[in-house]
Amino acid sequence: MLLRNLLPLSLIIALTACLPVLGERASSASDAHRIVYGLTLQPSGFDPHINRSSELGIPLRQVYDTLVYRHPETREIVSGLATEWTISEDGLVYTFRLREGVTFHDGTPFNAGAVAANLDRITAPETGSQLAVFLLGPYAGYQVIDNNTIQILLSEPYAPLLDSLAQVYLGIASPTALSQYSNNRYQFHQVGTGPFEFVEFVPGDRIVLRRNPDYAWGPEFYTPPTEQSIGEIEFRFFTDPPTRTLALESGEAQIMGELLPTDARALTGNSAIQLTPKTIPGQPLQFIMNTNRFPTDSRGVRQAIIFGANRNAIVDAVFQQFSPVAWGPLAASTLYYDPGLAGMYAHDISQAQALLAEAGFSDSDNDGYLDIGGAPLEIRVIVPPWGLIPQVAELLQDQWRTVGIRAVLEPVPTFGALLEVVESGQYNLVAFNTFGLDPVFLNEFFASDGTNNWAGFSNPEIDSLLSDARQQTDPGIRFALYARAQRLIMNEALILPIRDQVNLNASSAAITGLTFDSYGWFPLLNNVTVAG
Amino acid sequence: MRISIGILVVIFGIIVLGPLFITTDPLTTNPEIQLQPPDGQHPLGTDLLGRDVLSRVVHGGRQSLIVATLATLWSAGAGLIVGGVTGLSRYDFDLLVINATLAVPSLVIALVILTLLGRGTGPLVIALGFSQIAPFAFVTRSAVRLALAEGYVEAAYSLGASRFYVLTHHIFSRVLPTLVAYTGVVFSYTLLNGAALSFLGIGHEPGIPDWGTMLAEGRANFRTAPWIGLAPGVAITLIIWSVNEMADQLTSLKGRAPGLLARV
Amino acid sequence: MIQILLRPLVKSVGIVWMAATLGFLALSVLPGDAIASQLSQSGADPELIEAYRDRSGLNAPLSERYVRFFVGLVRGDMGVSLLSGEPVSDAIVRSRLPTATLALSAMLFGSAVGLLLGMADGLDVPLFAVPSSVLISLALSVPIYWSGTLAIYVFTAQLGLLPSAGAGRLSQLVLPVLVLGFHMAGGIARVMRISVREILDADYVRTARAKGLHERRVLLVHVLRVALLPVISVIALQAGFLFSGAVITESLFVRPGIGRLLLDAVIQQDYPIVMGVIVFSASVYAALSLLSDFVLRLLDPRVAL
Repeated sequence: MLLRNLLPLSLIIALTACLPVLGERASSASDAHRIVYGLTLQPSGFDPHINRSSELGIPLRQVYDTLVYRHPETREIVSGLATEWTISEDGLVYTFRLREGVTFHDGTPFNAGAVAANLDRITAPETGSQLAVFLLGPYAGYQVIDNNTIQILLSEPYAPLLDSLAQVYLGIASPTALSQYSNNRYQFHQVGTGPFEFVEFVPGDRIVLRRNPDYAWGPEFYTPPTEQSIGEIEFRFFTDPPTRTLALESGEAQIMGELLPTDARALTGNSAIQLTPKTIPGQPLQFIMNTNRFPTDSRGVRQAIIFGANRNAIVDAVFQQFSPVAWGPLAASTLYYDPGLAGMYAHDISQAQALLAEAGFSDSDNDGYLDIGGAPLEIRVIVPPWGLIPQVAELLQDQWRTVGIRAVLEPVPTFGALLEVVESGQYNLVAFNTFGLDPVFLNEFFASDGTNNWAGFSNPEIDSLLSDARQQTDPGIRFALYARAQRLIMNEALILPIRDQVNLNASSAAITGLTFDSYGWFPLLNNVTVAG
Repeated sequence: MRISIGILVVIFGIIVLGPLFITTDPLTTNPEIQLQPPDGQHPLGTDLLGRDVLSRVVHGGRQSLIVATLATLWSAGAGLIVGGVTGLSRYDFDLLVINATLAVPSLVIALVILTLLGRGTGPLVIALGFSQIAPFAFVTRSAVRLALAEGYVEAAYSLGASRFYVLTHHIFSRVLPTLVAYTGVVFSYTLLNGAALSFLGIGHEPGIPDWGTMLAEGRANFRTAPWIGLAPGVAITLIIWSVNEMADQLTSLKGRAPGLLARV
Repeated sequence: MIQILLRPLVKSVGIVWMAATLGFLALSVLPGDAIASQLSQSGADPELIEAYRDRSGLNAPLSERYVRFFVGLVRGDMGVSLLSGEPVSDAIVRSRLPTATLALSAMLFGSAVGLLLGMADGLDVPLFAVPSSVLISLALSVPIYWSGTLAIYVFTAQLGLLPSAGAGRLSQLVLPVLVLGFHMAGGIARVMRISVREILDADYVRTARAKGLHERRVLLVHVLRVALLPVISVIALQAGFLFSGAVITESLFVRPGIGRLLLDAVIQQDYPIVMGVIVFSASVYAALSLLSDFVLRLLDPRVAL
């Protein structure tokens, strides 16, 4: 009878379902030259010409070469797939002489036609590029001079062009592969010229790369492969922070990015795991202040907000001292950062209180918070959930309480929701940061016509400084322009800078030579060796 | 039974009266003493920002329980009405609607409502309650249908009673114990779901401690500071256990149509 | 015969259609979308963003989008992800396996354990009744993210026995199944226990005992068979619980399944994927309801549905 057998059957099922497969240790790196690299974000698309996440650059930096590279130490632009280049007097024509003898992983020869095919793809409206096309700035087309020479044309001078061309988003892909696969499918069959070949991409699960044995045209800082070099890399996703250290310790992964600061701190004594913190250039984590809404419409109040914030305490508690305090709109590792800003608006409660009193605030109803003419000194802070911002906000809220400022925290679950609130104008402070080596992103945030001018600030001097700097190719002059812009932004107290972004990478002790490029996020895995 | 009532009273007592005795502010940060293990000054240790964990558990409990209670009340109320009406109706179309709502993942429902209404306790209550209306209506409807099928109801009709009379005098008393028990279940679900939403980073309001965020923080720090997640986890477990015990005891006491809970 | 099959089938299709419509309407009122988010971060200006959105068909009127979606759905095409361009059906197919493996294993494990615990407690088996009761209570009361974290802490961090992340190997399935299955077992055990106790008191059991039938026969033949009925419908309804449990379990154990797909899509505002998951889960729910209705009717013709 069915039921008579049910009892023992269910017992058997229960037992078999419980049998742990003991002995099968979590070690997929059984081959000594194969490593597992932990990525932290599921990129929503994996095509460097189309998508914009920095996570995709981590594997793809190894698959593609770019026309030029940035030397990771000197930060100079050095030759890559282009051996030399000249810029016309008016800054509108860039002529590149291309390297010869280079082939794509599928055998297609590299030449000017290949570069042209890539530019066509990136700039085609049907491609729907979310970042690469914007990196090209005032792009106006190209001109193929001969098989190994190509010119890129601009409609106005654009200093960051070479910087853009060094980024993986403008990596050069095989024109054969590009024409063979549709825009949606190419991400699963990528072909470049780099030190590693693309093997497969299983969305949500893994990306696998294998060393390219024919690679012989790397930039000057790429070391030739040895016996200990990595043969194969599997990238897996660890979107949940607590799982990252666990994976390292159990051997499931050999390299991992973005450890939690508290976990990284706990690892400092551990000899089996080494920490490689890397500062990321760009905007530091900051709160941008809305100059069009009470009370942040007053400069005195904005300055008091910054004076009242104890940023050292934040860096200690939340970031475990792994990040430096930020003093201005640029992280210290960004090009043209002005170190003279250090110490500006350092924590000073009495200064904050004096400024507020000067602006007319007092605690007339004795509730512990200041007010003026019946209106409470209340600021609305938009808090996105990433990057430990909620913890920073809660700490700030308490710090401001001492000064008499009431902070209302408004969490937003997505970037889209953040934009909604910003568009409505119902905010005083909004937390944000973006990445990049060239400070041209400042235009988006602080020029009056900037697309993300969340401070709502309009100042003709800042406008002219930023637009000049965008076109100016002389680094000395650019520095002067940006230095002045940074100082102006801070004089007006448009932002509360918190800390420079630092990526807390860790690797097992068997890994040596792990370095990152000057953009911060992208490892140079060509040079990494595995012991054993 | 007595044990569960006792536990509930103690926990509710701590949460309601606690703030009177626990003078440490749950919001005051003190980064210098972050992540300290329990000691004399801080009986449950401190969290990442140096805040007192015990105080946060007590205050957070208030937040979590208020949300769960309100959500339960509103979902029970709406569920009763919907379930009662559809139970009495002759058609089956309404069951389709209920089933369809059951089929949409509650996470999506909650997120849509939260995004539309904004953050805060109110929207959270509405979102949580809403996701439980369908199950509640389903149980009510089944109970009503079953009760309707009993002989004495037919008899009442033939004696000339109106539907309303039948509903209030006969069905209601028979259905009540099951519903009371199910309300307990809904309470557990909303408490857990509310904490789950905070845990996933969707439902919480920074500045007000609540058990879900504490569990998430406890999880992020479970190797360096396991005490952060311990207290809220134990508290939630105890409350849910007590409520479940009471619900069970209620059904076996009254003994009417207990198999209905099986449909839950 | 066909009539008997047709009605529930129509009902199932109706459920899926209605759930999809509700989901569609709900998502259409949400502000923003993935494309606008990504492009704003690159500093694109509003006209360009609108151009991109036009191309993706996001600016078409609601009725047009609705029709387009359902026509596509009937043909099996649920659109493409706003972010990666991957067809939604592909995304769902590749995420199905880890979730299905987890769900089925957890359901098997949970049902088996739940039945056993429920029986032990309901029948008051000496020595096993009390621990069973305690385990059932724990399974029902402890939040799953707490027990999951505890399991990881004990088995991975401290003992180093089992992996805590990923899918594809059997060892990676153990902890998630243990955790999710344990909680499922709680719900099933509770119903089983109530059922068993209820039946034990029933008249016809007393009659059977009075007739002198062997105790064991009484148990197996009468009690368990009837007790199983409500349990089966519970197992079907637990599918709903399984889904939300899967979202959390997949987060905790880093498994690339449907739960994670949904969570990521919701946070990144990739609405075509969210719709795809809604349709998928509604279909599964409808199918399971259908199945449990059939099984119930098979086991006990008295049950009128």
